[in-house]
Amino acid sequence: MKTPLLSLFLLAGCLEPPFSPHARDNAVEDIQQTLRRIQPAIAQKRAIAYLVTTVPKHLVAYDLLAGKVLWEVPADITSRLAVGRGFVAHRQGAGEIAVRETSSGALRCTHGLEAGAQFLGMAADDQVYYSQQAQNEQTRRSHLVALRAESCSEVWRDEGSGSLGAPAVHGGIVAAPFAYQNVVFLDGKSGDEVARVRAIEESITFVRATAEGLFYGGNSGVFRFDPKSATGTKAGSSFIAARFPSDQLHSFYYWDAYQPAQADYTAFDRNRLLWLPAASGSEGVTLRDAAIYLHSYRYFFAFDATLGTVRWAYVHPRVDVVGSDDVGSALLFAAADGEVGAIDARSGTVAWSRKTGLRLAGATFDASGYAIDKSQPAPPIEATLTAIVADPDARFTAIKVFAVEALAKLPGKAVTAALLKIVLAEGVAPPVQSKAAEALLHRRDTESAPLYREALGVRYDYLSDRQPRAVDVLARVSAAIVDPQAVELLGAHLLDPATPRPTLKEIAKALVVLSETKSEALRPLQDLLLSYRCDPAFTTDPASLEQAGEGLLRHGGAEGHRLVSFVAAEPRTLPRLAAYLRKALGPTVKRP
Amino acid sequence: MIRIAYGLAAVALLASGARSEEETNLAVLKREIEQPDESKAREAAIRLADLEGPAAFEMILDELAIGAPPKVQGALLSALGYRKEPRAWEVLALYVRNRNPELRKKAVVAMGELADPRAVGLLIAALSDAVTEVRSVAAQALGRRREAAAEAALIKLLTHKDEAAVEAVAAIGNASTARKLGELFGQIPDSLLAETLSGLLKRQDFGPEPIRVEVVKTLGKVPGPSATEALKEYLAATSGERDKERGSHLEAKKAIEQRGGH
Repeated sequence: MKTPLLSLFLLAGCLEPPFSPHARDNAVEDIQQTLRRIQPAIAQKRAIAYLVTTVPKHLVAYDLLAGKVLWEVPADITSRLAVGRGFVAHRQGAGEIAVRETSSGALRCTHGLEAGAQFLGMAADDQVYYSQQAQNEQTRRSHLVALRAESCSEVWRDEGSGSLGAPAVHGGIVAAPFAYQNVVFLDGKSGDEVARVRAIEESITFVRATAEGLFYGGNSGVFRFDPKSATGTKAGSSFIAARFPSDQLHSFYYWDAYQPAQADYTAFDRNRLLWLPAASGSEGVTLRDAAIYLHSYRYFFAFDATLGTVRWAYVHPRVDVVGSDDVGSALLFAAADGEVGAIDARSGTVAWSRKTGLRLAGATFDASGYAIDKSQPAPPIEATLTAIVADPDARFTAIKVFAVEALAKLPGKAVTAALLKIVLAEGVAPPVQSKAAEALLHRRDTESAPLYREALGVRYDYLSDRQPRAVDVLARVSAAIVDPQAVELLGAHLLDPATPRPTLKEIAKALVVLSETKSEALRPLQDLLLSYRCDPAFTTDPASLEQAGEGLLRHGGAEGHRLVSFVAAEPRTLPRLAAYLRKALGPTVKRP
Repeated sequence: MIRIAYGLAAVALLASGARSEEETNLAVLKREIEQPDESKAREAAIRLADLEGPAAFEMILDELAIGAPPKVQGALLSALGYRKEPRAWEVLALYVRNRNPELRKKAVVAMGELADPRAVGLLIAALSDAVTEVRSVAAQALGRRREAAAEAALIKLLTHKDEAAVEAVAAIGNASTARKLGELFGQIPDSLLAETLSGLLKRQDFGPEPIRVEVVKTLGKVPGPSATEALKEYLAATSGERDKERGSHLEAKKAIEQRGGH
C-alpha cells in the first residue's frame, strides 16, 4: 500500500524524469494541479517594438507610444527575441545565448550553446528557457535548459530522447512540444515535469503563451491547455479551428517549434496567421472578436473565424512587412524599410505609422499595453481587394486569386466592373484571370450587359495597336446572361481573322444560345460553316464549325436544316465535320 | 442568306435535266471543281475563272458562297478582280475577313477593283490587317483609286514604318498631306518620309508651286541618303529651261548644296 505522499507523487507523474517515454499523460488531475500552479500574470503597460536591422545587424528598441527609438546596439542576432522581465534574450552568432537589458540594450551575460546541436527556440519570464536538439546516426537527443537572466548560469537542464520543440512559458510553467504528439509541462523553477498532454488525432507543432494561458496546436487549429486537454481529442478538448473563405490560403497558426529555421526571423514571419484568444471563462476557446488575421508579406486580411468571411483587407505600399503581431485592438507591424505602425484591428485602417529609416530583417513586439483609442471606419473592401489584384508585385498569385474570390462574393455593378477589368487586363497571372472569369459567369449580372458589350466592341486593329481581350470569356458571359444585343459584336469576332481559333468555339456556342432569342445570330454561324467547311486549317479542331452546324440545325428552321444537310453530304467537307453533322442530322442523311 | 440560297438552288438546277451547251459545260466544270482532288479542282476553277459570261460569273460567286478548299477559293477570287462586277461585293466582303491571309489578299485586290463606294470602308479596314501583305495590297488599291478618305489611315500606316503606305500617300496626298507629313518629321522613318515626299513631288498635279517649295524644304531637313537622292531626282526632273527658275528647283539645289551632296 502506497503512502499518501507517494500517491501524490504518482498522481503528479513525478516518478518519471522529464521527457520520459513512460510518463503519464492526459491525466486530468495533473492538468488541474498544473493550472493551479500557474501564477497570475502581472499586467504591464509596455509598448515596445524590438527591431532587428539587416546589415550591419543592430538591435533597436522602439517606443510605440512615444514614437521614438529608445536605444540601438550592435548585436549579431540569429534568433527571434524572447522578452523577459527587464531583459531580452536572443541567440547570438551560432554558439551562444545573449541576455540584454531592456532599459539600454547593454549585454548582461552570455551562455554557450551545445556545439553541434540545433537551436530550436527560446522563451523568457524571470528566467530564459531554450531548447536544442542533437542527432547522430541512431538517436535524437534533446534538451531544454533554464538560465538565470542575471548571470546566464544554468538553473536546470532536462534531457530526453526524441524530438523536442521550442518552449513557451506562462505563469512559471514551461511548456514544450515533444515527440510530435505531446506537450510536456514543466515547473519553471525546478524543471520537473508536472503534466503531459498527448494529442490522439494530430501532430502538435507549437505551444504559445498569451495572457489568457497556454495554447498548443498544429495545422488544423488551436487547443487551450485546460482540464479538457486530457481527452487528447479535438472534440473533447477546448479547440478552435478558424474558418477561412478560401482554400487558396495556406498559412499556419504559429511557428513550427520543431523547425530550427523558424527560430530566426524568416519568411515565416512574413506569412502567418495572427490571433489572440479571447478572455474566457474556465472552459472553451474563442478568438478575440472572433477574428483571425492573415499577414502575407504586404497584405493583411481580417477574417471572421466563425463565419469564414472577410472583414477587411489592407495592402501595405511597396515593401514587405517583416514582422507583425496581434495585440488586441491593433495589429502592430514593422516593414522592411523601417516603417513601424499599427493597423486598426476592427477596420484595417492604419491607425498610425512612423518611418524609422532602418532596414529591417525582423521585429518582435512586447506591446500588451498598446491600444487604439478610436476606431476609424473601414474603407470599402472592394477597393482594397481590387488594389490587391492590380498590384504589380507578381509574387502573390495565390493571394490575388483569393482577393478575386472575396471580391466575387460582394454584390453590385462596381464589383462586376472590377472583375471585368481583371479579366481584360494585360499582365495579370492566368489563375487570377480565370478565377475572375469564373466569377463573372457565376454572377450572371444582367445589369452589366453594357459593360460586356463595350469590351466586346474592341476589335483587333493594327493601326491603333488595339487587341481585343478575353473574347471567349465575354462570349460565355453574354450567353449566360442571354444578351441578344451582343449578337452583332460576337458575330464580328467570329468572322474576324484575328480571333484565335480556340476562341471561335466559345463564340459559336454563345451565338447558338443567343440564336434562340435572336435569329440574326445564325448568319455568322452560317458564314463560318460555309467559309471553312473545306479548310484543312480546321481539320484537327473543327469544334467551332460543329457548333455552328448544330446551332443552324437547332434554330435555323428548314433553311438551316437544308444548309447543314448540304454541308454534311458535300464530299469536300472536312470528314470529321461531315461525320459530326451527319450524326446530328440523324440516320436519314448519308454521304452520296 | 440570299447568295447562299441562290447557290444551293443553282446546285439543284445544275444537277437536274435539260440545259443549254453553256449550262452543260458549266455543269462539267462544277463537277470537276467539286471533286476531292484539290489540284484538279483548282485547275477547273482556273478554267471557270477564264470563262466569260454571266452564268460563269454567277457560278464563281456560288462556289465561293457555299465554300470550297482554299486553293479553289483562291483561283475563283482572282477571277473576280478583273471582272469588276459590283455584284461580287457581298462575297468579297466575306472573304476580306477570311482566316487565310492569301485569300484575304486576293479578296482585297478584287475589292479594290470594284467601283462600289462600299468597298472603300473595307479597304481602309484592311489597312489594319495583321498581315503585312494584306495591308500592302489594300494601300495599293486605295492609292490607285486615289481615295482621299483613306489619307488618315495611310499616314498612320506610315507611322507604323509600313512601306506599303508610301506610294498610296504619295498618290492621294495634297497640300494638307504635305503639311501633315512635315509635322510627323521624326515619327516616320527618314527613308519612308523622303520617299513619300518625293512621290508627291513627282506628281504633275501636285502643287501649287509654293507648296512644292515647302515640300522640298521639308525634304531638305530629312537626314539620310534617301532624301538626298529624292532631291537630286527632283533637281534632274526640273532641270529643263521651263522649270529652272521655279522656286522648288532652286530650293532643291540649295538643299543639296547645304547637305554637301550627301
